[in-house]
Amino acid sequence: MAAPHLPKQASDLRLPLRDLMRGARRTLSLPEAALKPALGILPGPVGDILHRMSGLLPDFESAGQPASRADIDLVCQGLAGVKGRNISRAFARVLAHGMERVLDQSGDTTLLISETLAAIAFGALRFDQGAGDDVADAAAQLWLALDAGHVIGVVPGTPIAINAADSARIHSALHALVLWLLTERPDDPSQEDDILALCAAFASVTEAERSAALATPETLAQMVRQHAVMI
Amino acid sequence: MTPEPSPLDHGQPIRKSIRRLRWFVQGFRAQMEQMEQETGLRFALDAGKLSAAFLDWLRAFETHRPDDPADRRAYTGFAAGLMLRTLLDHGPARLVEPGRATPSDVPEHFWPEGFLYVSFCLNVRAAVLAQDFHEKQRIVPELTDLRTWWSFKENTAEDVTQAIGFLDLFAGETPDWEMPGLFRSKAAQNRALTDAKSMVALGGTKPE
Repeated sequence: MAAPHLPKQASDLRLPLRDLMRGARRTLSLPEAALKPALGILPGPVGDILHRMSGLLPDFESAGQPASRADIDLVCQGLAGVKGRNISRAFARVLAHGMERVLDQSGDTTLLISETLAAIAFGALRFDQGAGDDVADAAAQLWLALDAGHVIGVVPGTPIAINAADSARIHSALHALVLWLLTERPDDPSQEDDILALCAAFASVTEAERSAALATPETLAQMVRQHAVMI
Repeated sequence: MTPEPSPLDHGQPIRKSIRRLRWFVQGFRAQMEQMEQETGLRFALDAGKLSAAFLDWLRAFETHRPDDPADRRAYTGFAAGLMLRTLLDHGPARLVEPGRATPSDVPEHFWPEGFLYVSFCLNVRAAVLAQDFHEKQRIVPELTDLRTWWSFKENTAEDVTQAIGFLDLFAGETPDWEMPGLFRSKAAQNRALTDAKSMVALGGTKPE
């Protein structure tokens, strides 16, 4: 049987390795109180290793390549129909950067993010090149693709263990991400995280409207189009 | 403490910038920090509640906005009252440190959160009036009168829409206590009055 053909993004091991390390870091960054029962059961040396590992895992955002203003600009070009492998990679960084912050802000400790799946999902989409500056339709398309592909989840890539509350949190996070991409860029790039935080707060208080808008891609696009200019 | 204009000017008319969440939040935070510096009080700010207040205000603003440009001046005051209403309704700020020992017979210590919201809304109102209408907002005795603040706190606890009337009072305008939540177009009222006078002058017949 021939080996499955993988999109180029997945054949580069960096994204999957970051996904593995991110998953381990989020799991092992649980508060000590949550780890204590396990530490009490495990044999001493194993418990010691677990304890030491949680302090040794690298900080991704500093060790890897955190999202930059250039990445965000590339992603926006991608939403306007420009193609390129570098754009999918940029999107993976932007998604990881944004989602980590949004999920941390909401206090979530269960959902994981897959840069690999994000890059694949973005690369697989075809955005309308005639949309010009109005990329709300593309953003809605992206949002739905990310959700369908379980790019964010308890076990990314699968719907395993996602309950209604998780699904609501995922959509709130995707809403924040899309608003962040669509809204006016701040003059000072160092304020991008502040704008992201505003988008997350805004998304957190618009659940009813979002649930209704998720009925169709068109209503979703209309909602993000209206919201983006309010941020 | 006398309200000072907030840093709301971002290269576009303040009446537009205040309708963006980023400037609304920045302006509110600046107001809060100024009050903290002047009083020694400390607040905690809930970002979600502030966003909700902003969104409710923006939607109310769009719903009530009159079409006639002649109503713009009056609507500025009403819109500021709507803003106070949504801030009181959502309560995004919470006092966490009472600060220096001071008598509670001054409004900012009697009701710190309420004073913060009123100050912010008055400053937004003043900034728009100055920029768009070249008017200076009056500072009136009611703003520092504790009995007015008692009434403000009590009445808005029962009916938060009363906040719109109270903001008019604090700004030196005549409040509409009957239906404070309804914007009455002065331009439409004036047209109706003019039409009525014309009919009377013509002996009750419609003008051709």
